[in-house]
Amino acid sequence: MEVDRADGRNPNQLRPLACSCSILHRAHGSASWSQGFRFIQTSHFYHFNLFVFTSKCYFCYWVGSGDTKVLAAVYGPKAGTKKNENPEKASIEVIWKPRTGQIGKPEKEYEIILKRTLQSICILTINPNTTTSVIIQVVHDDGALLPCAINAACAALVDAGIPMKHLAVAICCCSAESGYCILDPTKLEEQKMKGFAYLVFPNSILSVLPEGSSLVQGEPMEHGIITSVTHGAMSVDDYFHCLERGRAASAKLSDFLRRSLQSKLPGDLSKAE
Amino acid sequence: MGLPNASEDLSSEMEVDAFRRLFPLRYFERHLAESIRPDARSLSRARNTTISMGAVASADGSALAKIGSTTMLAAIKMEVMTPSLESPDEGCVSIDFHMPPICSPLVRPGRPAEAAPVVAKQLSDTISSSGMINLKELSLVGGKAAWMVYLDIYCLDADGALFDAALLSAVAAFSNLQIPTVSLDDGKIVMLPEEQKEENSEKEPVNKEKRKLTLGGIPFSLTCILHKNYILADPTSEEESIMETLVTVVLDSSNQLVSLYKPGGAVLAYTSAVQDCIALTRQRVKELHQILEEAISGMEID
Amino acid sequence: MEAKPSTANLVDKIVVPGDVVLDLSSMTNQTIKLGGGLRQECDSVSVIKAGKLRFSKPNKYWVESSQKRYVPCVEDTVLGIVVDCKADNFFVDIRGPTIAFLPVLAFEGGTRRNIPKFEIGSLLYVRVVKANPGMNPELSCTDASGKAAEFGLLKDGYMFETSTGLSRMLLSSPTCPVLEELGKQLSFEIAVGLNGRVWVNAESPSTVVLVSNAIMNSESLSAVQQKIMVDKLLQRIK
Repeated sequence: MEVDRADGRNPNQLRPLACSCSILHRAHGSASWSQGFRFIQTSHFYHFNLFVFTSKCYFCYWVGSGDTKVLAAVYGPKAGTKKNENPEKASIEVIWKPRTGQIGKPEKEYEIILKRTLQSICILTINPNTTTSVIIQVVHDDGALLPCAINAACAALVDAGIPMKHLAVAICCCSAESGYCILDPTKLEEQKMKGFAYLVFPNSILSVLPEGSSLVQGEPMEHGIITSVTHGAMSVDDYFHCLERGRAASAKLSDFLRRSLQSKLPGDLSKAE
Repeated sequence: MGLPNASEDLSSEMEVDAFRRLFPLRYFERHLAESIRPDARSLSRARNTTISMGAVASADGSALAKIGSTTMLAAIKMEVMTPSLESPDEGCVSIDFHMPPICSPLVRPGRPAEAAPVVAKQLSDTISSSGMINLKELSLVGGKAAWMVYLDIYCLDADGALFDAALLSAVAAFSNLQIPTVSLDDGKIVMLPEEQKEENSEKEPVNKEKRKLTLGGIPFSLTCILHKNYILADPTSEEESIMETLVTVVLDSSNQLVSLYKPGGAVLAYTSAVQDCIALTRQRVKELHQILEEAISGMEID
Repeated sequence: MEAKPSTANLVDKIVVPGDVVLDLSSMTNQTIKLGGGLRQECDSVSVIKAGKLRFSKPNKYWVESSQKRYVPCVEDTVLGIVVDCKADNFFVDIRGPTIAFLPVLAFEGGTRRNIPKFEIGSLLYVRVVKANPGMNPELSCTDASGKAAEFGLLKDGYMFETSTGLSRMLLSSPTCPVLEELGKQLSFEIAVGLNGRVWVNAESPSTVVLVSNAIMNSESLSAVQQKIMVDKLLQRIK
């Protein structure tokens, strides 16, 4: 049953996450999101023990394992929308910058998926006839690139103060031959596995409503899929298995996202009183 | 919805066409409440689907697929190439999807359609992950020569469910494919023109018996719209523009999930909705399989 | 899992988009006022911007956050830069999504006869009077009663841009510690717009530089830290 992973993680374990907001001076909102690290980067070091699935710390294994890191910048809302966009709604444009070279078909596809995903979490009716640009710069790619970019874009939108219905957390699940699944694969694992799914869920929210009132079709809101993209063939059961694992992980991810957003906001904004 | 029922009342006073233009969403919702769609289909019914094989005589394989008025023309051209060093005994498939301005009022001349590269990428992902084509079969002489397959799909009329129609036409074109005969000439691969086949007996064709590809698990897809609790199969472009949450499920003939594609959208897909979409796709796969078989057997009779 | 949150213990905490902070079905017969960053959805009120949930008695709720971009809101006082002059309107940049209009008659005693003249690039202290989605916001150089009050052109001085959170802090009452400490020792004029623009003017340029640096440094500091920082700066010029 056990699958050994090159970096010593257990199947449900994500790579260490790091998120910092407001890192670009000129952008209206910006964030970097990284999963794993190649070398110890002191600026991100303090994040690393925020998020381990098990109580044991696998830090020593991670040194030398791959990382995926994405920078996201948000500009806007700016006046006017492009042709073919509905001027009664705010429009979102996504520009994907690969690490090297020109953008091709895969990047175009990423742009569209990201755009549709962000459109569904933002409230587009508040600033009609405006365009918000989201620029994604890939810093390093070692698997689960699109989920990493979605997380970064989401944090950057929050940083820019774009009105949003809820946040989104993205995760990559791999399904192996034996119907067995691992989370947050590296690039090598992505290629080796039978199939993988990029899943995006709403974050888990704090709610003052009585327990159970926010259930939709018998499931909590955060179990609904915002975006699902799969590669490779898998059985339907495997997919549902991935879904289940992804949901469990998304709860932890949204905890992390909430904590990093909280740490970004100065707690003493109006201590002066 | 929290909206006042103003338009509800107006609907009795207004002409149907005016109501449809002014309150498109409400127009559709009133239909949905009656479990019917404006084009008289039930919610889970796909549009009429036809395939005609061999629509392009100059291509090695071609097909024209129609789902409702969405029309796709797929054509395959084969060329001999030197395989890459990493995979010396494999051929290569290159897929391109074109949306000329005639297909939709949204596409303007000179500016490529936004959807085209995305559909192309989805198609090549789906075809490669379904394992429909065994790339090893495309090899002619190991390490020396292999087939390069160019599949071009032209969208002639874009009326929703583009990916479904494109995939169907691609699959049909592959099953229509006749691999041209080639022969070895001083170590070089030469294509044999059709008419020389019998006369030129000194040049023995290398691939005499391999004139057809064996297709593995054939993928078929169904796009559904999620709107509130309704699931609408095989949407038209009007429906796609009004209700924006699309889910595309691709299953192969052995009911393996090849792709489940949902790019955002206002409605969240819960487990039950996903299961319903997959169930609808299973039915549709059977239908499409039959349609494809009929089209193939129709060709053989001719 | 943590205990079920209630509105009372979410107040003054940081909330993120999607959080539901008020349950209206349990609050019948109450009037509440919602400020920025909150949205009503049927029977619940949810957050649309990350920030600190604030509550002011008796019934006001809002989310306090800090951005680099300004969203116009009626009755905000802002600093705008004239970008164009047309027959009916001055076009003013207030760091919002769209250019704002300042009607040429929106001045004290404004008539067709005496239209004020502003050069492109001049800085104005103005009030937002209309801010509707889908329309350019409208500004005015008078207060609600039609008096000029302090609105109008800001001559000389130095303008810099900060976040909206910092400008709100500078405008809070009682006076925020930075300004209080600076004011004890230096004399200067300051105009703060809610759109994150700050204008400073003083006799000597060195005072202007010092005041602006002190303000820009104060963004993430607590009250005590602000005082220490200002003291250090002041000692340096003595």
